[in-house]
Amino acid sequence: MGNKQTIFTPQQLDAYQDCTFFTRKEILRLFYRYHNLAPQLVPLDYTSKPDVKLPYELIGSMPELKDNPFRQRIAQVFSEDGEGNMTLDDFLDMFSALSEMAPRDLKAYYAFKIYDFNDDDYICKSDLEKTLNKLTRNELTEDEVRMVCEKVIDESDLDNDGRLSLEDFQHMIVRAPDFLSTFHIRI
Amino acid sequence: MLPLHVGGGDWLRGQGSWRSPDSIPMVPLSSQYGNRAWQLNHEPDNSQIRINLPKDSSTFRHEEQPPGTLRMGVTSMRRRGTLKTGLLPGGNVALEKIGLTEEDVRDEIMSEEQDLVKELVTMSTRECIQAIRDLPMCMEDKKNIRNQVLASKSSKKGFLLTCSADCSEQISLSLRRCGVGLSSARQAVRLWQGTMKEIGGRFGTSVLSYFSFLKWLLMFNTISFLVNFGFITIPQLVQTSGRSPDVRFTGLELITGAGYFNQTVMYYGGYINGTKDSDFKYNMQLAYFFTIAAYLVLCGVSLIYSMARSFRRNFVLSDLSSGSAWRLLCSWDFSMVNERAVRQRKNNLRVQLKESLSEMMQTNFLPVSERMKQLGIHLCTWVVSAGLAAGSCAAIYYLCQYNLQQIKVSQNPGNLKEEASTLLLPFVVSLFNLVIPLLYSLLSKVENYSNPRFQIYVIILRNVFLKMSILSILCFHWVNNVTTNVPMCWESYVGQDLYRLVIVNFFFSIFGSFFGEFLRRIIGTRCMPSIGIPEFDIATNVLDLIYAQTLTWYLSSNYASVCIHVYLITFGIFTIRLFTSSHICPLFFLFRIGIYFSPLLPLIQMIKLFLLFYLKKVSLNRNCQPPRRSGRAAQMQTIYIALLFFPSFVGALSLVAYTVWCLTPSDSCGPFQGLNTTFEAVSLWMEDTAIISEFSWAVWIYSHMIKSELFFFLLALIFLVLIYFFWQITQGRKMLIILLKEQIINEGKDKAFLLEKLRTFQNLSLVPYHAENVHGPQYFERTYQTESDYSEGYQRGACPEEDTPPFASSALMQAMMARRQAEEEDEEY
Repeated sequence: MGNKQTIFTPQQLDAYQDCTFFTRKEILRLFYRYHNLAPQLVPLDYTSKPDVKLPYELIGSMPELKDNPFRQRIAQVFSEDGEGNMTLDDFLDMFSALSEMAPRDLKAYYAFKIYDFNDDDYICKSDLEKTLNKLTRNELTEDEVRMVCEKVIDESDLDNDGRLSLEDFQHMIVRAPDFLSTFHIRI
Repeated sequence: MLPLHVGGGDWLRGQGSWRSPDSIPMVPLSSQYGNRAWQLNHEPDNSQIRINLPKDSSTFRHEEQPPGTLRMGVTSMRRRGTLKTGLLPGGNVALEKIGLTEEDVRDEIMSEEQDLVKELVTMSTRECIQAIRDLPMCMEDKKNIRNQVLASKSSKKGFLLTCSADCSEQISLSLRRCGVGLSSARQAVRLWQGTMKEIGGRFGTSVLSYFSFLKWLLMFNTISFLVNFGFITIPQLVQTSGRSPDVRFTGLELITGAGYFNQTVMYYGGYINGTKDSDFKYNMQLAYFFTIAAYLVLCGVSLIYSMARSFRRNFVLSDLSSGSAWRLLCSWDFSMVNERAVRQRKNNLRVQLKESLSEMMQTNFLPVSERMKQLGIHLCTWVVSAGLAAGSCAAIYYLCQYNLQQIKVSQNPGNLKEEASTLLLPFVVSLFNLVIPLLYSLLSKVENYSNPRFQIYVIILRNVFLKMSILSILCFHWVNNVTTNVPMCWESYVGQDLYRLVIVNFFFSIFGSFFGEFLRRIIGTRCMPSIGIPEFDIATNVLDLIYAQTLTWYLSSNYASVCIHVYLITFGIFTIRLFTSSHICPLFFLFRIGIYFSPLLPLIQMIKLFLLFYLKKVSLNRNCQPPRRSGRAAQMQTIYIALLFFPSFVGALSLVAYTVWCLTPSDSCGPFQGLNTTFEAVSLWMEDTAIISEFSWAVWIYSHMIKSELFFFLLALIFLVLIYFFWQITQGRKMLIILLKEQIINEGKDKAFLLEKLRTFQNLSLVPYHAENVHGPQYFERTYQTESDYSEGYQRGACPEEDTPPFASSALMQAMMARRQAEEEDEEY
C-alpha cells in the first residue's frame, strides 16, 4: 500500500481508521473536502495536530447539508463547543456516524440528540414542535401542531412520563426498518 | 458506605445511569435486536452506587446476551465539550449547594472510564475496534480510550518475549491493513456508486430501492451466466468447433432467433451428446441436466435466504401502522440534497400529517349506503380487471393455435414472410403487458382507497395476476400442443418463441417508456397542467423486472443470445433515448423460464439490466418527480423478493421439472435424443455406475431415497412437525413481548416515584432522621399509601421544577447526595 500522503502520521491514520467507519482512502478524501471548505484556514499538514476549527457557516454550506432542515442541529450535536464550529475530528465523526456502516444503536443515539433541541436528554413537547416546524415549513396551525405532538407522544411514550426518553426512541426505531437507510448522508 | 441496590435495575439501563441533565448524555440502550454483535449492555452489578429494593416477582431478567457482547459497568458518556466548558451550568456554586464538588463528579466519570477500558482490554483486537467505533463519544474521547486500551494491552504483553510480541503485533497490524485495503478496493469497484448517490439525493430512498433491486438482479444473473457458460457452453463449443451450419445468415435472425441460430449453441437443439475422437469424454447429457439443476437450486436457496432475512427485519419487528410518530421522527430522508426535492418532501409530509389529523377528527362511521357503494365499486373493478386478464389470455391462446396451424401448413420453412409472422405473438403479448397495467392504474383512480399502501398492494396483485396468467397460458400451449405437433426440434421451437418474447419485450420497454413518461410529462405540463409531472412508478417497474427474470429462468436452456444480444445492444443503443416504462417486467419471467431451453440467457439478461439502469436513470431525471407518498421502502423490498420467489421462481421451477420428468425429448436434436424422458439420463448413468463397486453407496442412495416416495413422505412429515413446534414458540414469544411492554411501563412509574422520594429526602436532610429510614427496605416497597401520593410523585417525576438546582433532580446527583449523607451518618455513629 503506497504511503505517499504527508498529511497525517501513520499513527494518526490508524487511529482515525479505528475510531470511524471509514477506510484510509475515504479519510483522505474527507480531509480534502474539509480542506476545500476553507483552504486558507486548513493546513495541509496535520502531523502537528493544529487546532483548526471551521465556523458553522462553512459547514452548513456544504452541498450535502445545505438543504437539510436539521443541518444546524447536526453541526451542534457533533461539534465540540456545541455551537456548530467543527474541527476535523468532529467532521470525520459526523460523517462516520451518518454513514451506512454505522450500526442502528449509534444512529438512534445521534438522531435522538439531534431532535433534542433543548439538550435535556428527553424529547419533550417543545422539541417535537420545533422538529415539526422545521419539517413542514411552519405551515401547520397551532392546533394541528399541538395535536400531532400529542399523538406522537401517545404512540411512542412507553413509560408514560410525557416525554420521549432514549429507550422510547430506540424502541420506535426498531420498529422502523427504513431508519437505517434514511438517516444516512452520502459523502 | 451504604450500598443500595436497584431491583432489576431496568430503569437505570439505557438511562445512562447517573447523569446530570446537562453534562452526561445517555448510554445507548442495549437491544437484543441490534444488528451488530456489539451491544452496550448495562450491568447494574458493577455499579458502585445502587439502591436496594426487594425484588419484585415481576421484575424481568434481561435476556442472555450472546457470548462476546460488551458488558459494561455503569457507563457515562461525556458530552462533547463538557470538560472544556465546565461540567455543569451554574458551575461550582450550584454544586456546593448540594454538597458536592466538581472533582467528585469528575472522579465518578473517570472511574467509569476505567471500567470501560478494562472491558475493552479483555476482547480481541477486531472486536475491540468494533466496540470503539460503536461508542457514542466524540473523537477525542474515543482516541483517548483507544490509546489507553493499546497501552494496557502492550503492557500486558510486556511479560512475554518482546521480540515475538513485536512480531505478532506487526503481523496483526499488517493483516488489518491488508483487510482494509481489500475492502477499499472492493468499494472502488462497486458499480454505479455515484449514480445511486445522485438518484437517492434527488428522489429519495424508495425510488433508489428500485435501482438497488436492479443491481442485485444483475449480480445474480452474472453468477448464473458464469455457471452455465462454464459447464455447458464451453464444452459444447469445443466439441463442435469445425462444423459449420448449413443455413445462410440473414439479418432477421436477430429478432426471430430462428434460422441460422437454430443450429448453434444458442438453443437446446445445438447441443449433442457426441464425444470427440480424442480421449476427451464429456457427458453432455449429465452436464446439461446437473448444471441446470444446480443453478436452480442455487437460485432457490439464495432467494429463500434473502426473503427470510428481509421478512424478519422488515415485517416481524416493525409496527404495521404508519403512525405520526414514525412519520415525524423516522421518515425524514437525510440523504436528499436537492432543494426542490426537499421542498416537495416537506409539502408531502405536511399533506400527510393533515390527512392523518383529519382522519383522526372524523368519525369512522360512514353511512351504510356509502359503504355499500364503496363495496360495489371495488367489486366492479375487480371483475373488470379479471375480465381483462381472461380476455387477453384467450386472445393469446387462439393466436398460438393459429401459429401452430401455420407451421403445419407451411411448405417453405425458410420463407422470410413466415418468419416475420412469427413475431406477431410476442408483439401481441407485449402489447397486452403494456396497455392493461395502464388500464389498471386508471381503474384504481376510480376507486377510493383509504390506505394508500393498500392501494399499491392491490395494483401489484392485479399486475401479477395478469402477467402470470398470460405466461401460464403460453406454458400450457408449449407443453401440451407444441411437443406433439411440431415436426422439428420442439425444444428449439420453444426456445425461439421465448427468445422472441424477450427481444420484443425489450423493444417495447424502450418505446413504452417513451410513451409512458415522456408523453405524460408533455401532456402534464403543456396540455393539461392539472395532471402534473408523472411520478416514478416503482411498483410496476419492479414487477417488470421480476417478470423478465422469470422468463429467463425458463428460457436459458437455449443459449439464445450471447452474440445475438451483443448485436442487439449496439442496434438498440441508437434507439435508446428515454426510458422508464413499466415494461421490463416481462423480461424477468421470460428469463427465468428460459434457462432450460437457452442456457446463455443470463448473459442477455445481464446486458439488458445494465442498459436498463442507464435508460431508467435518464428518464427518471428528465421526466419524473419524487413519489408523493414516502412509502415503506424496506417492506416493499421484502414484497418484491417474495414475489420474485413465489409466483415467479416456483412457477418456473415446476415448469422445468415437468418438462424434465414427463415430456419426451425430441428425437432429432439436442443432447437427450433417444431417451424417453430427460430424467432417464440420470437413471442410465446410475445403472452404469452400479457396475462399479466403489460407488454402490451412491447407487443405494439413488434407488432407496431419491426414487422412493416413502422417503419424501417421511421427510415432509418431519418438517411439518418442526413447523408446528416453531409456530408454538412464536406464539409464546408474542406473549412475552406483551408482558415486557407492560413491564417497561411499570418500571417507568417506579423510577418517577423513586426520584420523587429521593428529592423529598434531600429536602428533609436538614432534619436528622433515624437510620432505619434509610436502611430499611420497607420504606422503598412499592406499596403506595394513597393513590394521590403515588400520582403526585409520578407527576413530579415527570416535570422537575424550580427551586432546586436544575440538575439536582437527576438520579446521579441524588444518589451521590444520598451516599454523601450516608457517609456522614456513618461517621456520626
